[in-house]
Amino acid sequence: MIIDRKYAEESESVLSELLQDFKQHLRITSCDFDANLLLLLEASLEQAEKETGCIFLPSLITIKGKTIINESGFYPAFEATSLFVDGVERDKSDVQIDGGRIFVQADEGSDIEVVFDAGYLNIPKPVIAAVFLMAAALFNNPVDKIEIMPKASTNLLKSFRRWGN
Amino acid sequence: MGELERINQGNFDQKIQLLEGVVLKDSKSSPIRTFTVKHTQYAQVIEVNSQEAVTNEASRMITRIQVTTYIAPVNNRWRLNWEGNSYDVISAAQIQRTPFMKLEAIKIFK
Repeated sequence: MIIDRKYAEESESVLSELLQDFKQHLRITSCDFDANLLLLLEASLEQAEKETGCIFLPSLITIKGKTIINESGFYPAFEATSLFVDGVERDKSDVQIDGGRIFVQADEGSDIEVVFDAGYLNIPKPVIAAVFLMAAALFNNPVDKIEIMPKASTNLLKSFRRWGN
Repeated sequence: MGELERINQGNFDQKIQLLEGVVLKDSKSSPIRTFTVKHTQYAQVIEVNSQEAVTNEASRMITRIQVTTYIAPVNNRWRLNWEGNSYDVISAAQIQRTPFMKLEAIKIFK
């Protein structure tokens, strides 16, 4: 199984909005730190995704497999944008999406390639707050410490954690 | 290794302007010092007032402030504006391993 993730076009505007809000959170008025802040935001978002098992940034995900694809861990997954079986385009409605689980079945030995949308256009507020706290901790004191995430971030992300699919 | 200072930008509740001093020459080639605003940013400002004895037995209050803010290439040729007053920067030091700096400045009496 090959899984490839690309950020959707919308993720750029989501990130740029997040950056402006993050600068307000930090009370930064200049653009001097923008590159660093963006890096820290992206790193914190990835950490939040790992922590919860969700996909927060709007993404296009491609899964390639043989005969059957039955994969979970893509919450929130939306509609499939394309489905190819042995290089031939098929009806997208053959792809079953249930929460974070993707299911496609084809003839024995066929190559399947499915592409679908996942992620939030409006990232939930507790997730944004958690990501800001993480990124701020990295920005303010970029040195080794015992905790991976601030306690408040862990608590804010707790309700988003997904077990199973 | 010294203990790291923890700064919280939640305390940056004041807005300051940082002005760079540039020496220019006027029409008679005399040097004149002008200041231009380079940064406007949030900061924590602590006033440290002290009495200073001056001539004819009078005493005058000098106003010194300690400012914590985001780093900028400031030195003691800079000035800062805070609450409508101008201050001469007398020292600027980055707080190690953080994006913050501490400034000390003295009020300029006109």
